[in-house]
Amino acid sequence: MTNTRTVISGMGVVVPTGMSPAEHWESIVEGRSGISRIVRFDPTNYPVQLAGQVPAFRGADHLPGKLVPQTDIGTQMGLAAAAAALTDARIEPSEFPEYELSVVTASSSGGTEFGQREMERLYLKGPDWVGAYQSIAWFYAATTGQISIRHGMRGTSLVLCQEQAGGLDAMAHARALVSSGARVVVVGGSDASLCPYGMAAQLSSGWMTASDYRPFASNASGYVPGEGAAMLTVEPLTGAKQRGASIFAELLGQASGFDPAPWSGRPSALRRTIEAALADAGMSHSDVDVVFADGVAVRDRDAEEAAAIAEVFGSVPVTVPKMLTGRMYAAGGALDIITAVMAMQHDLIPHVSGIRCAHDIDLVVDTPRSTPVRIVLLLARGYGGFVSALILGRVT
Amino acid sequence: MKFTLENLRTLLRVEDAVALTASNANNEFEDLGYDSLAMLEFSSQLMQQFGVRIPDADLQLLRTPQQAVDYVNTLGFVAEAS
Repeated sequence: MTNTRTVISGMGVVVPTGMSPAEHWESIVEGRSGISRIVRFDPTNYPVQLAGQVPAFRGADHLPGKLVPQTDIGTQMGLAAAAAALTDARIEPSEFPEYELSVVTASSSGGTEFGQREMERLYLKGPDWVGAYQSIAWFYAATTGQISIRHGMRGTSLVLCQEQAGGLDAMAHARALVSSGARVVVVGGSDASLCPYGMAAQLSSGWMTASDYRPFASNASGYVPGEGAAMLTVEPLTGAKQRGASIFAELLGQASGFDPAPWSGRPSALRRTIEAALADAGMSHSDVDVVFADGVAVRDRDAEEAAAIAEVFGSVPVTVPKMLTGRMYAAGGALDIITAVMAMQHDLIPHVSGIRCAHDIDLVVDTPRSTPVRIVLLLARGYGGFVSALILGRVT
Repeated sequence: MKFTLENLRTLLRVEDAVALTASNANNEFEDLGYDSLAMLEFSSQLMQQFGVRIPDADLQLLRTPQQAVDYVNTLGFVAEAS
C-alpha cells in the first residue's frame, strides 16, 4: 500500500517538564529537570526514589467530573493531552464524519494506580468492595477508548503495548490509518505508573537506577522513571492544507524491529531497523540532521545503540532529551516526537547536561547546538525487545 | 432513615448526568445519562457505604431512580450512612 503523505498538525502534553509543548521546550533548552523525589507514594523502602512527575496535575481541572472516578491518572493525563492537541490543531471533531476519526495510543502499564486501589479492596475487604469502573479503568486500551468516546472519534482505533517503543510505533499505525482514509488521528502515549505496584513491576527489568539518569555516560547506572502523556493530531497533508492548518512536520519514514533474545549472542535489531526506516523514507543516512536516541543508560544497551548509530551514520549529532523527564515509557516516544518538532521549529538541538559520554558518538552535551534541523530520526527500544525508528521532516 | 434520591445520586457518582429530582425520578436511567456501569457502581457503593446488597438479577430490573429508591427501602433499609 502506498502511504498517503501524513503530517502533524496539533500537539498536547502533560509532562514533568511542562503543561504545553512551549513550556516543555523551554525547560528542555534551559536544562530544567522535571525529576524529583517521588511524591505519589512513600518511596522510602524502594531502591528507586526519584521520578519525573507532574505533581500539580489534577484530573478534575481538565476533565468532566464524571470521568475522574472512572479513570486512572494515566488516562486522565492522556485525555487532557488529547484535548490540548485537538485544540492546538483547531480541530472540532463534530465537524467530521465520526467514523473517519481514529485514536491510536500507546500504553505500557495501563491504569496501575487505579488497579492497585481496587485490588487492595479486593484482598482486604472482598469482591463487593471493588468498584465497577475497575472493569474499564485499568486496561491498556482505557485511554484510547475514553478519548474516542469523549471526542466522538469512532473510526478504527488501537492501543499499542510496546513499552518505550509504543509511542513511535503508534505514529506508524496512524499513518496507515490516514493512508486508508482516516481524516484525523489522535496519536500518542500515556503512562503514569508511580504507585507501589507499578514500581515493583518496573523494577523487575533491573534497568533502573538509585542514582541519576545519565544516558551514554561513563557512569551510567540505569534510568529514572517518569509519568505523563503526549498526544498529537495527524492528518493527510492535503486535508491539513485544505483546512488551513498549521503543519508542524511530516512523517517521512518508519520501521519496527524486534531484538533477538539477549542470550542468543545475535546483534540487536537496531541497525537494520534504522536502515529500514531510511529506506521507507527514501533517504540516505547523510540526510539526517540529528538522532533522538533511546539512551536507556544501561551500559551494554547504550553501547549497542551507540554502535548502531555510528555504523549507520558515521558521525551525526545525538541527543536524549528524556533525561529531563525520566523514561515515560509509552508517553516517552510520543514526547520525543513533539520535542523533535520543536527542535525543527527552532533549528536547535537540545543537549544533555553533566554527561561525560563514554561512547564514540557526537552526543550534544552542556549547551543546545544551533544548526539547521530539517530531518530527525527518533529511536526507541521497549523492554522485551521492541525497536522502533521514525523519521520526521519539515514540510516545505 | 429512609433511602432517598439524594443518597442514590451520591452513590451513582456520575457528576455530569442529569441531576435526580422528584420530577425526573420516573424517567429511565439510560435517558438520564446513567449507563449499565453506573448501575453496577451504584450496587457496589450501596454495599460499601450502607452494607446493603442488591442481587444482580434484581439490579437489572431497576429501570428508574424511583424504582431503585423504592427497592432499597423495601429491603428494610435502616442503616445510617457509615
